Amino acid sequence: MEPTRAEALQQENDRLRRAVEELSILNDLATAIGASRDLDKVMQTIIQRSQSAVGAEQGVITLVDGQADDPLTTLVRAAGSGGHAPLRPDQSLLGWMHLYKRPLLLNDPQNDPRFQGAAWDASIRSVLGAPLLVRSELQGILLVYNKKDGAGFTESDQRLLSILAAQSAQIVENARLFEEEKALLRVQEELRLAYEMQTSLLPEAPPFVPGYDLAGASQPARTVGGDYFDFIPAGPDRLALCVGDVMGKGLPAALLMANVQATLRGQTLPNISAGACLEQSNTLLYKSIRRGSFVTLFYAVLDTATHRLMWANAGHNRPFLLRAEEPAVVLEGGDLVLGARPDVSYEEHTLDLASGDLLVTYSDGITEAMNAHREDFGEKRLAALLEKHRSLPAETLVERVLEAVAEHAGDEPQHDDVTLLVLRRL
Amino acid sequence: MPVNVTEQHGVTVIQVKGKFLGSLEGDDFKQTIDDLKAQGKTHVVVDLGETDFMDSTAIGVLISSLTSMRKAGGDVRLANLKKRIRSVFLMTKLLGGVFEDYESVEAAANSFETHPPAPATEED
Repeated sequence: MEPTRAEALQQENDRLRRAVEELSILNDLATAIGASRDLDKVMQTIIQRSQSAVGAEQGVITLVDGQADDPLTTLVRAAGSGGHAPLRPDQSLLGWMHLYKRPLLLNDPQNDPRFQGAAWDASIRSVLGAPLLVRSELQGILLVYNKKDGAGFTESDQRLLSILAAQSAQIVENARLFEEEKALLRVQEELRLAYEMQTSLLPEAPPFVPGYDLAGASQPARTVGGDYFDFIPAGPDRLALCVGDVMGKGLPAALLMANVQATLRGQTLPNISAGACLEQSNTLLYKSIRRGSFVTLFYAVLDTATHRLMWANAGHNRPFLLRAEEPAVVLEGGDLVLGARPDVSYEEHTLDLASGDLLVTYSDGITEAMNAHREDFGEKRLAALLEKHRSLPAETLVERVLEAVAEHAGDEPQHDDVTLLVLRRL
Repeated sequence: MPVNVTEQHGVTVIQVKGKFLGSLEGDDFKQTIDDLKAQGKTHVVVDLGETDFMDSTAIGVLISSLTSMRKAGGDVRLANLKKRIRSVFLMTKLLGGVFEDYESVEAAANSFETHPPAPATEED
């Protein structure tokens, strides 16, 4: 039977009313989200509006990582509402959505043949879901649970949720991208801070010491390692100098370095021996730093009146000594790194410096600088370079070595800081 | 899976292949140590035979693992160190003073029989 004119008008009226309702819900959603780029807020708003639009008790958005090999195992984030923790969608539902990418209506989920293996929460009576698609990729799933009137979700609810999901997908994606960008900026900011902190700890210029020529330089790597060098006054006619490498990179390394510097400066007391200073510093550091953190350090005290150098080495690269016309020799001897174990003793060595003697202390960033052929700069190359340029002023010698290391590395990215300290008795 | 765990010669063997970077493999490694400790498996050999490179953070991870296992009455012993890695452990005096290393997993495993771990000190 043909619908009467009145019935047809009624149907048309219903359709228009629904369309107006849908438009008003979408308008509400757009207004509520406004300019918010906070991912959690955006997701909560979408969930709340979806719940009230279809009359559901609870709602959940689950984001999946579309770039991962197996998106189902990488549940990135879930936000929900309904009084208790968000109900995590079952893996089989995620799998279904990933496969079919279309709305899903389950008014008897426990007995649905498609989800027989699914472990539904006992409180779930009905489920309505829609995919969040951006450029046909599944970014997440919008799910609402339990129709309030108990009758189950309708086709019309499904249509509405699909429209909401379609409108929400790009908004969620934008918020997610914004969040990623913020995270990236945070990392860059942290690196900048670490760089600033590290460089601010290093001496700007060596102190003026009569009868000696001193120079030191440190170039942080792109990722900011933990090289450290310092000149510390140790009473009349005495100066402590050290080169170290703290474990790790970035801000944690910079913080550890600050701790090491404060400790060493505190322990560099007048007339203290190098070995005793390291022993006490180790005890203090072992107590204060995180287990597993450690520092390698060459530490020496120069007496400018007697020209005697007293040194101890906590697991750091062995320095080179160049005397008169002789080849470079390695200062053998060293003990355990600082901060790894309690109660470590550090052997004290002494060295009487003659006029022209040159002491070169460095970090492993120099000897382990790699070129494109995976060859490291190495101790031999460093020794030869030092022998060739032994008569250059300390500052120029430091520059020469850094240039040679940079030349060796070429365009290969270097992962370690490069540090050099030169002491020459004039 | 870069951190591989097996049972051999009556001990637990952890192997890290390729580059052992503290920032990447560290968390996995620490988790493995915590799990083993919870299961009472405290005799651990770390097989570095297929480890090409270790950064300082990875060495730190080994130190904290050693401390953790010694506290539990066990130990972490090293096997198959390549020359380059061994030289770093020698320079830092972590070999001898802190860690013991062996030429093979079997030798490291047997060492738990010939000289069992000493009780941990208070300060650990």
